[in-house]
Parts: sequence; structure tokens; C-alpha cells
Amino acid sequence: MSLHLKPSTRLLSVRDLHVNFTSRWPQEPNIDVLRGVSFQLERGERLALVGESGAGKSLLATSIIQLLDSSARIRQGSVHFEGQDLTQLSSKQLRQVRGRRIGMVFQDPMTNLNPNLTLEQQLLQCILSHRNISRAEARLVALHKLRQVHIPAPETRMRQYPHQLSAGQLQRATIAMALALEPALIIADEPTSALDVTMQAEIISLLTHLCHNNGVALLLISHDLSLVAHASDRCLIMYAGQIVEQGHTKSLINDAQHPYTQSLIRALPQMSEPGQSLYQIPGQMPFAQELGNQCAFANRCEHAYAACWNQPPARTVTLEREVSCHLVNPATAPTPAESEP
Amino acid sequence: MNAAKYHGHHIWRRFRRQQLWLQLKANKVALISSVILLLLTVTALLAPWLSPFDPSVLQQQNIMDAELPPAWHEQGDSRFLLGTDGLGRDLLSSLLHGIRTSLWVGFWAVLLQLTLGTVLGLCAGYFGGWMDRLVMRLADFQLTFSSLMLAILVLAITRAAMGAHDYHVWSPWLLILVLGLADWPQYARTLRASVLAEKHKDYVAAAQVLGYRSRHIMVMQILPNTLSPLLVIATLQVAHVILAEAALSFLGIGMPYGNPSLGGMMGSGFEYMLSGLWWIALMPGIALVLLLLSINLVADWLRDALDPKNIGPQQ
Repeated sequence: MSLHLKPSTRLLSVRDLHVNFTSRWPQEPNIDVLRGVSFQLERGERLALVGESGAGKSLLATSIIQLLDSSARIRQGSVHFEGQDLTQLSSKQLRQVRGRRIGMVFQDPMTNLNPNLTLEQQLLQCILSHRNISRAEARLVALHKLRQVHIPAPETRMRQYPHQLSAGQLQRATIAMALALEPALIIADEPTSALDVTMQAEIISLLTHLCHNNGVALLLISHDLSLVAHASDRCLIMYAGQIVEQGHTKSLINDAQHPYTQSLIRALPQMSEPGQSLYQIPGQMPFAQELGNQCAFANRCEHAYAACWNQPPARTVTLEREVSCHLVNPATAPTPAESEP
Repeated sequence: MNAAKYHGHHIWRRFRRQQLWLQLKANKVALISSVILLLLTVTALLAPWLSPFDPSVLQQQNIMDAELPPAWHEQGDSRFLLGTDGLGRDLLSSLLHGIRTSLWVGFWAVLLQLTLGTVLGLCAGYFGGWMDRLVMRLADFQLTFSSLMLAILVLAITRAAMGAHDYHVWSPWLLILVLGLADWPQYARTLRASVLAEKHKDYVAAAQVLGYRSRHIMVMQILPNTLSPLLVIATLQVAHVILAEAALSFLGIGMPYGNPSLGGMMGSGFEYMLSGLWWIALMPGIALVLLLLSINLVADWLRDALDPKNIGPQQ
């Protein structure tokens, strides 16, 4: 598929992105938390970003929209969105991109709406601050979007405060708000983690359908591989600030090549027999400052061998897959003797 | 760009939807105190027309009428409902004008404090860094002076510099200015603390993601969530300013003599207290207590009523 796409369909292109946190003490070195992240996103594509806590998923999202914490800094790399390098824009130019071109849906709908303003006030503020239309028109847009996200009785709901709505309804409302400005990309950062399980599938399918119908690209961040399996076209697996494997979701799940992806799939509860203990990846993700010249996953990898401890793996690009692992790279793959445990 | 279109005020929208009115009807204390406050405000506004005498017109005063007790007293005079003071001035007229002065000074001085403290506190909390340090050190500096002492200093100096006549023309405005400028740190400090707590909440991040400008986030998103402590301080400050004005008038550097204020009246009544003329100090005292109590009770209710968590489901 990617072979036939014209260059103009490229929406977002992140190249070799390094983000570090500046240390408060001068003698301590600055630590790269994102270490050379590169990926592309086409218009209308649904891309999942999966990784465990601390892998840098949310940091990647905030560095795309340039809302990093004051101690974090983009050290190297670029974020091209619709032909502009977002890392080079002024804050005024960025305001035109945020909300208007890139919408965002957060984790906890109970806290990301202003508790002191009604839904209507917040939706109208959002629409009127970016579009030059009248209040009445903006209200119609807001109502239309609320209907699209299946909020019952939107006229009544609009006049209510966030605490009067359930978490599911609130998350629908934030999706409506993100869609109201008709952005080209929506970044959903764990949009269902705060919801109960029955709600999760519903919200995810709503999000993916609406994005698909409106031609909006979706970057879906999650720690749950099973959740994104049906909801994405492509998938990025992130580990310790790097993308270790990316490819089409289906083929990636059916034929995972990086040992970390394989372990993630084995760790899914439904992969276990009843009564059997759940598989878990041994050890912990290393701290960024502990990483030397080695593969970040080496200390937890079942297949680690000499090369894994000596140099970080290069990216191996095959037809539809990119994997960063020595095992997959023909140049560094172990000889049969080395692979013996 | 277009956010100005959306600036219908929050409180007013709530009122229009009758929620505030319904809540007010349900709360008897708030209802009574707001009625009292409204009455006091109206009488203060209409004082020149309501009062039987004009306290600033000396020709209407007669020393023979001095020290008359209230009308219901056996020695009272029906012309002077609340009695007269030591110079034969009608106490009711002075009282109405005094409430007018006190409310006037209290309102404008608090508005000035509130504006100054809100702007500075909001900027300090939201932007942080050097702005925060500068504003907070200024606040510390300001707090080392007692506001009353500062007022005495400034008023006494300007009085000496201007001469008594000019000073009396300008003194109400000077009083507002001095009392208004002296007490901003309380608002700024409280607001800064609230803003620091609010600005790390998700809705602020969400607002930044939506591409709102900082001014919008500060005023439209954060400020409504930090309003209740401000409201509490502001109402306490109305009382404080009225008392400060009373104290300054008592000391003789507040309102000019022709311009009665509650504090000035109590000050002059104080001398007669021990000789049995209780009404001269008591009447303005009662008015002051009523005024302050009703302001505080209304504000207390308003703070609760404006918290959206306190309104139930709307159906």
C-alpha cells in the first residue's frame, strides 16, 4: 500500500527525534528520553503507538504538538506536519496548528474538561477561538458533533457541567470537541484507560469510525496491544524511547519479529490457558541513564547474545516492516553456535 | 481570534437561567441578608433625596437642637427620628450619607485591590519564573507595611502638601487610592497559590492543546476555578476597608467634616458615650454591623452557589 501513495498524502513525519530532560544539577548529564524516533503518518491513517509505562509514548505525543515540560527539550530531529517543521514554528504559529489541525484526546475525561464551565461554553469557546463563525453557527456545529459521538439529548447535555455527566459521556464530549475543529490529525493518549472495560471498545470504535468517516488521521497511544489490534492500520512498538518495531498491525501481531513484541503478545491474558499463570516479561525497563552502548532490551531478552551487549541494534527495513534487533539484521544475526544458550 | 464573541459572563448567564434566584429563595439567611444589603445600598444611593436634612449645609443646623435623643424617647423630637449629634445635626441624615460614603469607599477600594491583586497573582502563578519572584517579593515588601500605617503616612503628607481645602476635595479619592493600593498582596498570594494548583490540572493542558492563547487560558479557564477564595477575601476586605476608613476618619485624616462617614460619626459619638448620649455612636455602629454582616453572608452564599458542584442535575 505504501508503495502507491503519492508524497502529498504524507501528513506527519517525525525524523530522528531526540528529546532530553535537562538536569537540575550542572554536573549531571542530560538524559535522552526519546532516542531517535522516526515514523510517518499518512492522511487518514490510523496508527497505534504501543509500549509499556515509561517508554516515552506520551512524551512523543507532547513533543509532536510542542507542549513539552519546561525541563524537556528537543535536542535533535524534526517533526514535519503538513509541510511545516513544528519544531521551528513560533508560538503564535503553533496556536494555529494546535486544536485547529491537531486535536487531542486525553486519558481521564473527568479532569480534562474545565469543571467550572458548561459543556456548551467549552465547545463554543473551542470553536469560536479558531473559526470565524457566529455563535449560533458554532452552536449548530457543536450540536452536530455531539450527535456524531452519540450523546443522547445533546441540547440538554450541553447545558450541564462536567460533573453531571458520566465518564463515558465526557470522553465522547472530548472527542466531539477534538473533532469540532475538523483537524487533520487526532492524537488520542490512552483515551480509554480511565473508563471501565465495557466502555473501552465502544469509545475506541467510535473514535476510529469518526476519524475514518471524516478523513482524520489518528495516532492512538495505548499500552494495550489487544485494544489497538482492531483499531489501527499500522502499529509502532515503543521501548525505552525508541521504536523497536513497526509495521501493519495484522502482520505485526501474526508475525512479530522483535523479541519485545513477541513477549508483549505472549503477555496478553487471552493467550494463556485457563488456570495457567500469566506470562510476564522478566525484569524492568532500564532507566535512560543506565543505557550504555547496548540494546535497551538486552537485559530482559530471552535471545540476547554477545552482540546485544556491545552495540545498539541498527534498524532493519524489510518490505513493510522496520525492526531494530540484531537477530533480524542479517549482518549481525548470531551464528548457530552463538544462538545456543 | 474570535474569543471575544464569547464573553457573556458566567454569573449573569447563571442568573438568567434562574438557578441563582431559585437557590437564593431556598436559603433564608442569604435571602434576608441580601434584602438588607439591597435596602442599605438603595438608601445609600438615594441618600440625598431620602434624608430630611443635608448634613453638609450648615444653615440647616441649629445648636439648640443638639444632643436630642431618638424620636421614640420621651425627650425626643419628631423632626429627628434617630436624634441629633452634639452639633445639632440630624443623625438619620448623617447616617444615610455615612452609609453612602462607606459603601462608596469600600466598593471602589476593593475593586482596585481586586483588580491589581488578581492581575499580578494570575501572572505570577501562571508564568512563574522571574515574574513570580518579582511579584512575590513586591508583595512581601508591601506586607511589611501595615496598610493603615501606609494610609496615615500618605494622607498626612498629602494633607500637609495640599493644604486643608484642596485636601478635603481630594480626600475621598485619595482614601480609595491608598486603601486600594495597599492591600493587593493578599489577593495576589492567594490567587498565585490557587493558580499553581490549577495550572497542572489536565484541563489546562487540554486548553493549551486546543491552541488557546495564554490570556484566554488564564482568564477564561483558570480564573473561574479560583474565584471562591478571591470572593471570600474581597468581601472580608470590603469590611476591612470600611473599618479602615472609619479608623482614619476617627483619627481625623479620613473623610472631611462636611462629608459624614460611619467611622467619623462613631468617632465623634465616642466622646458623648460616657455622658449618656448613647445614640450618637450606637446608630452608626448598628448600621456598620448590619452592612458588614449582610455583605459577608451574601458573599458566603454566593461562593457556594457559584460552585457548579452544588447544583443538582438539571432535569
